[in-house]
Amino acid sequence: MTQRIALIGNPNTGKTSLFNRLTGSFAHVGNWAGVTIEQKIGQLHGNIGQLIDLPGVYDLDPLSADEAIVSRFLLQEPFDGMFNIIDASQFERNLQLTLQLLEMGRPLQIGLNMVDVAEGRGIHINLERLKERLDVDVFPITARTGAGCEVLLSSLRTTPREPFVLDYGEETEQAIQQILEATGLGERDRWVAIQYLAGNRVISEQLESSTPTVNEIRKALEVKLGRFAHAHITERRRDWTKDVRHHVVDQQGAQQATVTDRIDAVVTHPIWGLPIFFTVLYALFHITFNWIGAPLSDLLDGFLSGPVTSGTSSLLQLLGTSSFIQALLIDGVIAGVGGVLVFVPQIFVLFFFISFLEDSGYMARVAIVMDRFMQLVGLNGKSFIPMIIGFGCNVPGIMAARTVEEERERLVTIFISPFMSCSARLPIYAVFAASFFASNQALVVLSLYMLGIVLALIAAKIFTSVLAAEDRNSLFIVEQPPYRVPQGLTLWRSTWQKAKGFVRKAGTFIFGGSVFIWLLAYSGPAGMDVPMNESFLAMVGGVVATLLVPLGFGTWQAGASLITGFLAKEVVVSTMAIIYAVSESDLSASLLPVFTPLSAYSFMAFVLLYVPCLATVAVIRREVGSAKLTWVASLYGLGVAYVVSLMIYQIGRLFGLS
Amino acid sequence: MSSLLAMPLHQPVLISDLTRIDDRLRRRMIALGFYEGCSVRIKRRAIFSGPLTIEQIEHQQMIAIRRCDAEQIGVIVP
Ligand SMILES: Nc1nc2c(ncn2[C@@H]2O[C@H](COP(=O)(O)OP(=O)(O)O)[C@@H](O)[C@H]2O)c(=O)[nH]1
Ligand SMILES: [Mg+2]
Repeated sequence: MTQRIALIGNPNTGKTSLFNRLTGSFAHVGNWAGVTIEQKIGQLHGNIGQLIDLPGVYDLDPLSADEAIVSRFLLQEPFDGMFNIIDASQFERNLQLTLQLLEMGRPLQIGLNMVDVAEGRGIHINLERLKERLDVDVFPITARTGAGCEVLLSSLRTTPREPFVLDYGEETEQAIQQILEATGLGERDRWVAIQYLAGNRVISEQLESSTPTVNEIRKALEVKLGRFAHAHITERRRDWTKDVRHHVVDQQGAQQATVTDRIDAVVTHPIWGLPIFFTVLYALFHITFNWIGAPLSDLLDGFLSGPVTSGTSSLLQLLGTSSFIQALLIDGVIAGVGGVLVFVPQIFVLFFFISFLEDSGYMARVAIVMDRFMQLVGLNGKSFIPMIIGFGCNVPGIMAARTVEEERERLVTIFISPFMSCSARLPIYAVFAASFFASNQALVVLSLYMLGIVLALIAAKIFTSVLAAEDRNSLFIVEQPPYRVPQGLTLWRSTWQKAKGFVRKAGTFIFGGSVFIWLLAYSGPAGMDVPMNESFLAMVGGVVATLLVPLGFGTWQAGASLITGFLAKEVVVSTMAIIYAVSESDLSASLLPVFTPLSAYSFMAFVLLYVPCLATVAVIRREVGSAKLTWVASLYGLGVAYVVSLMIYQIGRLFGLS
Repeated sequence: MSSLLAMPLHQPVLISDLTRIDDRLRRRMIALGFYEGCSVRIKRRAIFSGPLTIEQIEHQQMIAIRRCDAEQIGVIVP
């Protein structure tokens, strides 16, 4: 038996934390509206069914693509029960959604979360009275520590409930009945009529296309009420939530300046907000590369190029394997996969900091700090969050664009996302920065990230004016949740969740790619074991290389690695390691004679911009839903990369750099 | 009645008119507890005419909206 239970609630109420508590797997947790960007499904403990973690919503009427996921889920997908998670410290606001869920009459239980926060603010909720008022089970939980979560799960009930009935007043009740009659719906579907009158877009679309008369019923009601039906309904609901609150909530103690206020006074300071944001970014890279990542990577590299390589090679000799197999494993697999694996520590550290920022609540402030800027290029401050997530990996970044309400802004955000320098590009920078810019690595890497951002903004400006110059609508409203200290365990698990894809890629994609590339480098028109310069790889790379000469890196090696980089950006490093048949630390030495600092920088800029990797193209295709737009989004970067690298190299030379 | 934008920092005011702002913005504000009649105050103004952070005092709920929208929100000083 697999019963399906959905988690529904406002953003930031702890749904994902609860999900992580109740299921074996760990979904990603974040403290900014809309971090749960698609439904995540986990097996409940004890194998009693599946738990589905949905994006947060304030209301069943969707404004953005991620909210539409929830409305569509509730309307179309089969499920057996719901856990409605309520933030006890924002009781009244949360209750508006709860009312709508209760009206649906599906099996429902309430998890009253953040009780610790509420108590800290002197808010006490009387559970018995609440249960009585809502006629539904309520369980106090603390998703952060796990307290009460198992109780909630073990009292899971999937038996049908009677829909909750709130009286909306005589005229409205009549209109509800008329709509039910006109559409042939039964009394159990009363909530559909209410949602229609309340202006729910998804429901309106369905009802008005099947039964156009509902529109007249609503208009007649509005004449009687002398106001919009949705205004009347929201007011009735608000009166009800106020009344419930009045009965069940007991609040004492005056407000005092909270920690959040004090942090906000600094990080969203009118003048210091922006410099602080860039300092945070810089610190993030500095710690990632200079302090933690690089030493760890060196250790790992020492291990891989030392004991692992020599051990494997003596083992292979002992077994008497052919020289072909030996070369394949040592020069192909260990060099290729190892060249990427050594960067795993840095990538973990980067993902750790991104998770930390997401979970702390700072991202919602970034939206404020950046809004003005983003408006200049036709986007809004919210678009900056997908961009930062894209620093980890472009794929979740592009999905996070769903939280941007305006469709035009969402598309443009997706289009510019590949310019966000993802962690897979790090190995490339790390190799080149270490070889050519040893003393200021973090600065060079940061400058590439900035280059990506600046070009993304320029591209956004152009796309916005092409897509819809006249459409100036923009919606900006961002909830500012209180800051929360991210919880160690959750943080580690969400880091692992994101970074494990990278490790898995090393074992599959990059393993296969390395073998293939090595074979191309090992064979040529003349047969097997040819000198590398006469291999198939050199031929293919050579064709591309002629085009790259003006950019400063017109070698077949560079050409070949760029082609293979489409599979995944980090393959560029694997390919180079194979071509030069060295480990990562020696790769630097092999590159020194081939590149100059200037051409190295030009190469890094090219790698940053040229094409999104395969996985990113696939997710763009899914999110924009059009093959033509996918082509545009995937290929315009190539032109940009060429022009930018050309400028860097040629202008640099004019200034006498080399 | 004056506009929310014109209010000094931290001055508690009552929202009296939400009819002039975009329909979707109004709904989202209402869903977040910013309805006509509730008491709010400006907590912060971002630089370069960036968004305003406003607080629904009773709920201790904070949101950020743009100045152009805040200008269209009518308030009265109690
Ligand atoms: N103090 C406290 N914080 C919590 C609790 N549950 C979750 N959080 C924090 O609230 C934030 C949002 O949680 P998340 O699970 O991402 O919420 P979602 O948006 O509903 O999925 C995170 O920083 C959590 O660590 C709780 O019971 N008490
Ligand atoms: Mg979540």
